[in-house]
Amino acid sequence: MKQQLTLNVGMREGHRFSSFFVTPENAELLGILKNGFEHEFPQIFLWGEAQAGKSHLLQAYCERYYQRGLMAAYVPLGSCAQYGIRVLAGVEGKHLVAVDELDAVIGQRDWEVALMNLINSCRANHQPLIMAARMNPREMTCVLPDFSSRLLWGADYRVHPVQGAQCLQAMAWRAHQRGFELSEQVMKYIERHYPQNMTTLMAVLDRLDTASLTKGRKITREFIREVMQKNANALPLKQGD
Amino acid sequence: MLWQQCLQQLEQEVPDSEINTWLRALHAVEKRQALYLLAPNTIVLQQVHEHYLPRILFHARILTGDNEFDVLLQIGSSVPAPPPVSPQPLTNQHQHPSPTPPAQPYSKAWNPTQPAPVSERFANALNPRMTFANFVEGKSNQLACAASQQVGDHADTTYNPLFIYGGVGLGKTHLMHAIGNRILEREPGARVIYVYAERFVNDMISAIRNSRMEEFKQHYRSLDALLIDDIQFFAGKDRSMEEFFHTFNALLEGQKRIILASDKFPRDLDGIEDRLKTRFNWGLTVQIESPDLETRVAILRKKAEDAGLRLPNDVSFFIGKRFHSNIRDLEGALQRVIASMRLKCITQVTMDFVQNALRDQLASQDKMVSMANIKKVVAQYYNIRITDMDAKSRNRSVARPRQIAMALSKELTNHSLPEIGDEFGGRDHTTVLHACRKVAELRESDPKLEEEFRILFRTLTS
Repeated sequence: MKQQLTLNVGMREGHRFSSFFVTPENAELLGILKNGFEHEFPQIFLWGEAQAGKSHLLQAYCERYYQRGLMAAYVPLGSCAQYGIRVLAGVEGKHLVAVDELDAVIGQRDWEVALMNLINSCRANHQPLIMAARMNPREMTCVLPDFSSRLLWGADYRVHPVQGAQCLQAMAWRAHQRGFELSEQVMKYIERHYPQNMTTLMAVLDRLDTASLTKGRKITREFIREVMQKNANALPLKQGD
Repeated sequence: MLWQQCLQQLEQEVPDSEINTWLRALHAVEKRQALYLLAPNTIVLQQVHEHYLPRILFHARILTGDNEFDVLLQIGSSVPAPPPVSPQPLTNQHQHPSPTPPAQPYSKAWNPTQPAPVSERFANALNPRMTFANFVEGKSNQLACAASQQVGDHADTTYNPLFIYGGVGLGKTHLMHAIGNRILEREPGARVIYVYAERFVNDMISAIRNSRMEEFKQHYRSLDALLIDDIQFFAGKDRSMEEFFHTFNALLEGQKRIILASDKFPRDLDGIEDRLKTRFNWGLTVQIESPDLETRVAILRKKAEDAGLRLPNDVSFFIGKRFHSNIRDLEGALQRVIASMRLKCITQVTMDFVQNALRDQLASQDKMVSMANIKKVVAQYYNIRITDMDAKSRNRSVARPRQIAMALSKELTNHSLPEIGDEFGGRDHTTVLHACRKVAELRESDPKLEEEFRILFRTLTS
């Protein structure tokens, strides 16, 4: 039987607030962002562990601006720092500035000076600025105290990662967003066999989604067992499993 | 419109983060048979050119049905200025008493690339909201505030230059803006400019590049008052210091006011020419110190009142005690509380509510200023062993750092005297009390110890 080819168009969830799984710990932050943080603070700093969703939220915030025909500069320093501080040139002309992965340049004087100037300029021009890093700004070992204190100009919020039982809820929610449901039996199977962290569970979901589309089959316990046996090397099972 | 359609097509081929980083950064201008894409800088231009241009061209030609259609990439921006009001909330359930005033972009003090009308060129970059009226005075900034008012009120002041120094986020910038605003209030036609040292340097570099150095010199040397913030950023920039030296002399000769701010006392500024340091001391040098608890509480109450909120005593003292490193952090804490109240439609603030609203910040602070960390930092500073903090020895070289560590523990943590005593080798709470009193006494009488205490305090709280 010929396999059905999948279109990546169906998989695209985009960085929007509506595609962000909201835990009770992040509810207040989401409320502030959805209402527009610039109504409360001149700038906002999001911090938290890797995979907590900081980049998602920053890009979702940019999307708010795009939707209104406004321009936003999104600068993820993890990948952009290699181009030097020139990558920040011209961002002050945008309606919103979003600087992600600040950890990549902390401790480098030229970057700290450039970012300090950006903060000063955004503040002087009433230009909303949103920043994100893994580390809490209070714990960052910046070279310039002037820069360090400016990171706290406004408000800082921790983005709490999805943890423990929340991971399974998030997985079921994400499946629903993609247009299919995971039955109780399937969820129990996943809970029994896979570690409860978002990276693993999202990888499981992606495999199931693709396999189900390709084979044109419903996701049942038997189906998942079959798919996961084929992917046994790629997806780590729970210890002792 | 065409560009939006192209983007929709590209979204199917290019990851979101790349679209947002490189392609959304472009400003599109559609002209006859061509789409001009304006990049904010050379890096964006290069990336788009190397990785995405063929696909953009492909989609543009398909969408227009014109095989001759062209896409041109260039540096530039024709984006209009930010709109006066930021985007409306997606949900409109909360009516805020307008926390964000309508945006009024400040004009640039100096535009080295484009000649500007004289009136615009002397736009001052002053924030009209930073005045003496909303500057909270306390023991830590009294002298600096009085001197600033004197300079703002009198064109013939003897405090010229006025040099304000102190740690970050303590109100130097506020005082500078207040001086500038006061000068303009009394002399509406005065040419006053507030500028960061780094900005002065960048403008000078641009002026050199655009062969407009004479105009630059003329611009700065014809001012009635020049306010330069963060003067420490001149360090190592010889050409800028040279130019600033001549500007400084010209203004002083013309009896024009110069106000400077820095994080250090002039003599201690590294990388600044001696002849400049000497001149900085010709007028009056004043320090702004970290505000004491009472001043922090007064600042909080003032800010809360401005936001239409009345803070109960216990709440304002709690925030003031916990957020002590600088005023930016203190203000940030209050703003978070206010935002949380608005979101939850709460009108009365309580201790429980504040502790919950600030729980992540408080947890992070507790981690930084734990007694174990205080002992470690103080021991490292005085080059003694951490175990000496708990030892019985009364030798001065060990006992004094131990007393300082105890005093810092009392100041920076919420632990009681008996708890602090327990942590320091099981000492009695009266020993801790004696240590705190002794350190307070020495801080008044011994400038060296006072400086050491401040350094340790900053290290632990910044």
